[in-house]
Amino acid sequence: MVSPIKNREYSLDSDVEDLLIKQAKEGDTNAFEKLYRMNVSRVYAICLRISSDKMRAEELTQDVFVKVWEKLSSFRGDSLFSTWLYKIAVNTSLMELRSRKRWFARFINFSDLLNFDKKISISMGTSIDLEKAVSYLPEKARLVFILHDVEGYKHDEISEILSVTTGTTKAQLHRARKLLREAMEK
Amino acid sequence: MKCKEIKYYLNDYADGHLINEIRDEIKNHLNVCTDCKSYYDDIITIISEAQILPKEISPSKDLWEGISERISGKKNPVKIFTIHSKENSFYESDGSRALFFKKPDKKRGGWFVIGAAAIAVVLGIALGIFYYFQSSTAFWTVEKLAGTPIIGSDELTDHGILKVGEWLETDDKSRARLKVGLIGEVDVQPKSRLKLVETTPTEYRISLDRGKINAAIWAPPRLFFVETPSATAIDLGCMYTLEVAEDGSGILKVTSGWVALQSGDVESLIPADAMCKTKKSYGPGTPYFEDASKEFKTALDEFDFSKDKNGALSVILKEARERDALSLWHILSKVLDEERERTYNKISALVEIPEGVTFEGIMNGNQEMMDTLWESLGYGSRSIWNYL
Repeated sequence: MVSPIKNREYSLDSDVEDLLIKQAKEGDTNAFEKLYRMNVSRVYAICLRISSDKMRAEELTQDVFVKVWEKLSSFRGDSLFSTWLYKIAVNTSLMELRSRKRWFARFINFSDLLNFDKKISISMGTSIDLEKAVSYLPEKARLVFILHDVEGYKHDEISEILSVTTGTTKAQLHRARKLLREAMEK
Repeated sequence: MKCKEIKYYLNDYADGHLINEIRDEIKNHLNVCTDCKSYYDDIITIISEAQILPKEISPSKDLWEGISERISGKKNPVKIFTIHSKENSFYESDGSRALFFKKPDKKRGGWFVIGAAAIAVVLGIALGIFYYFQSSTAFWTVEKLAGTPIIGSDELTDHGILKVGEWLETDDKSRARLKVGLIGEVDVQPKSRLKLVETTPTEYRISLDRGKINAAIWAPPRLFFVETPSATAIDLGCMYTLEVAEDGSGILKVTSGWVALQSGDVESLIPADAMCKTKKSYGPGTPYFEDASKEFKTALDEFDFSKDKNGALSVILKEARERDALSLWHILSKVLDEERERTYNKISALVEIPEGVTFEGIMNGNQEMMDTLWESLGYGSRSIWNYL
């Protein structure tokens, strides 16, 4: 079992990070820019994997940091700053994904979307490109796989983020791995 | 344990979630069974590859400039003041720090002060009007589409407003369009009568006494509600048509997204292309697809709204196609014992039962398994739509 990525090789020590957070809370945008530069690659990776779209991931990354700026005063340091930040990244990406899905639902039959997913997932190439294969997974299975196997969140954390039961997150994780395994066999 | 059961547990085994006893049994089994070992190795490969996927990916351009622009105009919540220039800065005074602001420029007296005061007054009035309407006379705007719709006792000309508590009525030649705040639109068809019950940022609710509406809502789920005499339609992000007859019975047809029909503890989930009837004293019936066989639909009617459920169930199970698993899933929670067993057996014959769902669990009404089974039907997650 892995844990959410918490330590970055290039990160400054926690005292420096604490100081930057304190300065940013007081309105220092230079300090906030440093926090941005320390974390942008992790945040962008999360947004990209959840949205499966480079341009959208860039917009989402900007949204995440604007939200962080607005909410910074509510960060009390009970958890690591990075943990707090990544959770905002996950939630922002999920919210956008759902609103996009609802928008499309107005024009496209849901069952068509699901069939599209199925067609893609069973017609993957002979050599597994995990990143690509993951992006073709059915949405729920993909989200749980990204959060659990890639980001290292636990089932109870994922169930809280997605508002589903842990039984559901486990079932979706098994489904994702099964589909990826089938793709490996092709 | 047999290989099938072992494989069922292999994901949990790989994640270290099993109790010692089962873990040891699987460990021993993997030492002797090459098929299960191969299956397990594949899982481990996927997990390992997932863990080494890059945790950091650089965006193709520097995003800071866009962020900087967006936050520059926003007040940081705990910021006490901003020092923009030397004039608005700290100055040492008698060895201690004091804050001085630049004195007002004398040239900005006269018309400048009058202009600023006038703007403040206009803004104050505008805000007052806004809060007045928000707090005491919440309403939706209404547009006439045809004929002469009536609001209260007044004829609607081109545009008007429908306040909370007011009725909108259309005759056989009238139609109107309601703007549901910023979240959607409702077209009111001829011979309809509805009331605006509530409009707040967290709840938009109308009561449809009779007639027909077409709703298109693009808000988060569970914000828009339509009460009818026999059930309440709860929007889950969708387009749908709802028709209510004089006797209070209703029929709902979903064009896209989802709608839930609820009465008491009974809730029916209706995805795109499906329909559902409701009747007074029965509540919402079982959702079904319009292209189901005539026998299936007639039997469903009997099952939902008469006492001979057993005879009707036999026809339903006989006529059900793969797509009709939607209806059978709903029926599972309406029947017990032998009838539930027959229904579950039919579902398992029509669709693949997902991992984690067992016969015993469904017979015992295990909610997690019911959710998993629902999700395997391909209509989206119940919870994921509910919480958004």
